[in-house]
Amino acid sequence: MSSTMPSWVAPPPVEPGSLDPLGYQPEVESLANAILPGITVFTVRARYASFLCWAIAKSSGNPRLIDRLDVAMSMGEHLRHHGDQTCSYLGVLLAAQAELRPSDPIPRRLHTPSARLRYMVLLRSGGLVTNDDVLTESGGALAKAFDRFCPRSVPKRIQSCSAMPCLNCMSDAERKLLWEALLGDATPAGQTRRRTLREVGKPLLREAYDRGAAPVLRTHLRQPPRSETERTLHQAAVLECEALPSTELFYWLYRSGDHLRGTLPPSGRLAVPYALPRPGEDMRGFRHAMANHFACAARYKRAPIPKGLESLKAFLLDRHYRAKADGPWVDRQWNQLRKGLARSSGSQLHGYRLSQFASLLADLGEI
Amino acid sequence: MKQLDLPGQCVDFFRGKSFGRRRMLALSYEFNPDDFETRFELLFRRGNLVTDVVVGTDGQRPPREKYRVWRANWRGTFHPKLLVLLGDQRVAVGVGSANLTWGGLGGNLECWQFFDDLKRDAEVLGGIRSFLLRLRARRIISGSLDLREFVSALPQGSTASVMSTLDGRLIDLVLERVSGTVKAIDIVSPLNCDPSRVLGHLKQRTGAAQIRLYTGIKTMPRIAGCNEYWNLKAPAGTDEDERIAVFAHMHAKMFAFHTARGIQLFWGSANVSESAWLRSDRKANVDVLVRSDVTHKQWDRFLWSLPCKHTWTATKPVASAAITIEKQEIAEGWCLLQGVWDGHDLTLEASGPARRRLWVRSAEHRVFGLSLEFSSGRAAVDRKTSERLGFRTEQMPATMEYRLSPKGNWRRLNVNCLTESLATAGSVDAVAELFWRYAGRLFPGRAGKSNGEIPLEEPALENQDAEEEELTRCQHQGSLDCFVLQWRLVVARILRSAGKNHPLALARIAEAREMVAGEIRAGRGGWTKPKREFVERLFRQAEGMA
Repeated sequence: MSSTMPSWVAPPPVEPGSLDPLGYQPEVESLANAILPGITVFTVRARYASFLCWAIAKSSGNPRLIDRLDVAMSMGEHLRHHGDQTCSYLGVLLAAQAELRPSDPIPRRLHTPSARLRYMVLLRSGGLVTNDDVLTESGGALAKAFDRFCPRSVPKRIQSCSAMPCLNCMSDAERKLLWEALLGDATPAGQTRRRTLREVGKPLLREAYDRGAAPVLRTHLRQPPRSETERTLHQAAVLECEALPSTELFYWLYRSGDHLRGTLPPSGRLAVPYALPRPGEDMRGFRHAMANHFACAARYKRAPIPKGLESLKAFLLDRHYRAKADGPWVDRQWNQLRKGLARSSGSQLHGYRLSQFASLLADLGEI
Repeated sequence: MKQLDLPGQCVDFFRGKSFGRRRMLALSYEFNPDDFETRFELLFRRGNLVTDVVVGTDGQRPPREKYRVWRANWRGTFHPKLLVLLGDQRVAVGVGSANLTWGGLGGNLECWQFFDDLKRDAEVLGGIRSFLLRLRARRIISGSLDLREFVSALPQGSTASVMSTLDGRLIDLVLERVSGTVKAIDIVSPLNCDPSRVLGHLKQRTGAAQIRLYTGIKTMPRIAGCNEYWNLKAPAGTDEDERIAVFAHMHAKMFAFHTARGIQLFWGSANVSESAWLRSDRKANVDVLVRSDVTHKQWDRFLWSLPCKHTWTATKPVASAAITIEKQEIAEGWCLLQGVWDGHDLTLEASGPARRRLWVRSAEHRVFGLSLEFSSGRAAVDRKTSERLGFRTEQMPATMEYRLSPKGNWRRLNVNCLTESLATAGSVDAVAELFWRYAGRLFPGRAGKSNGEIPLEEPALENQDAEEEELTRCQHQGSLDCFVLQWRLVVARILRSAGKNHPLALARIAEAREMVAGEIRAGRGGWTKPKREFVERLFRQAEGMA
């Protein structure tokens, strides 16, 4: 237990299930699956698919060895980019914190989950591996293309990791193989992804790459859907009109207690979808924006949200108690039952994996 | 760099010791029972932990779990943050900057360390022992809170590694211990008053060319004597798969003196403020600092490996920026600190001696006037009034209400129960109480009045003492046999719980002897002369063996 130095006190654990207190996530997941199968919030670098095919071939599918190669890959990027985050490889901060010397052996673990766990769904959906994680013919071809950039022997020490390839550089042959896997006709998932790319369009996906899902959802909120993809995106856009203000209000009530009285103001036109003032800073503005969002959602056939604040609070509690039946965060009087409900620091809008898809497309040179 | 899970370390310390003596003493300026009970839930869930919390502020709700909250008797700010853990004869001391609040237990940037090695950490443990003795000698901690066990378990010896404001001005104590030429001083501290005078003193007396301030503040104020300003910065964004906590405040307190030989680091509860560093009277803070010698590399690595991707950023001070001055808590005149219920008598403890008339209110809102003589700050409430207030042998309220004038505001006063057993007070005599303390359960056949929280399950037969086994089998024997067996068992348990720590064994025997004497004085327990002599003989034998 003892040490002469003080230590920093670890922050309290963030409990699982603390995000999405109103249980909108399953609906979001099913919509995202419909337009972007195989893409997850983790899959942001296309070349990890090539790397994993190579690692599977090199290690004969041994998961431990694949993870060691994954660490060697990250350490190589660390030596190359010196902690610069432009390459966005896995473990970018952890590699810097580890302060390893060139002569040190490669650490067994660096980041969790490893690339293998993060990207395997993408590999399966692209037909690069079978359901038993064995390389297919196209996976083998991709492994060969990647192997041209790799050292002959597996790195054992930090200094030899610099021979590992960079995620930013790939040959045209490798890019073509990756394009086939991610957007080609060989798999139903690839076909769906290519349809999404075509129907959403490169300009909007470029915006999604920079600014998240909001521009795509705004475009599809009022646009009459003509295809299956557009219909799904429209449903997602309408869902966010309900989910965004509800979740924001829930967080505020969780933090501040039950201090909200009265009714929602009459609804008007929703000028800027998904732009909500913070309730703690401008409650009046928040109420107006919330009423407009709810009215918009109802206009597009979402079940109407109660207009009285008391019934709105009851609606939120019902949703919360259904979503977190095993561990609610507040009681029926809005007293906190547990502390530490985390609110992610970025936008509260669900991403529908659009920015991750755009990131893969950027790596392929599509956008 | 590894971070310290403060409640987790406490749970680890007591792990596997469910049937021995377990005590925890916590000293904290701020205290939030909700957060404390939530974060230390695992400890409370296992029962048989006697916890005392000494706090510097009023106004908390009464505890829901089984522990006692004591108000420190200090006019200034009672500001130390300390945990002392005792498991049989093992002892660990935790020191740092963390209050027992949500922020302190990980919500703020805090520093903390535990010390438990009687040889390697002897100076720190000895220093904390001396600090506890000083708190008791100056009556800052209630006389009803028994510190003897903690003091006996901690080693005596050099106290050079621990400094407290009770020993003199912190600046003098610290600078006495700094050797060599000081080139620079790194100060990690929140700002809650203008620290210019402290910085001036430090610069003048050490000759340090540079003072670097690391803090967490919205607008950095310009401070005379400070050369560099660094502000705590939270990470800008988070990966979608990582949930990163953002600290509410920078609350760690560390003072690193850079010399040619290395860093002399002083860390603990003292802010960079005049009431911590430049005063030693009754209006000074009560603060503790620990000294560590570290290398430059160790210090840099520690300072720059902040948890949760936080960093320090160089900040330019703004001349017009004001420091939000934290109001120093100076207790106004005479006040009541807490009530103490020993299972039979209610005693009120106050900040000083006085003859006062006060009004107390029962749970049914019946008001009684009392005239009490607080000699040495303590006054006993007569039996009749305490019964009317709801304090009976079988039960006790956790609080009572009082006011100091007929039309004054009603104030709530915590009442601590000295009986440690979770059985209702009426079912407990000295031997049962002692068996509970050292075995963590009630005697077989005597557990009738429990409140359901006691770990009543017996240990496996092979783990039981031979004597205990005999006791279990002879439950239906005569009362005298039972008396003999029970006391022999209790004394054996006391000796075993102290291990090779002789002072601790003697302190525990003395405590047991006092409990018996108390029962005899009160005419309870049927203490005939042969019984008294038998138990006294047992105690003397045990003292000889210890």
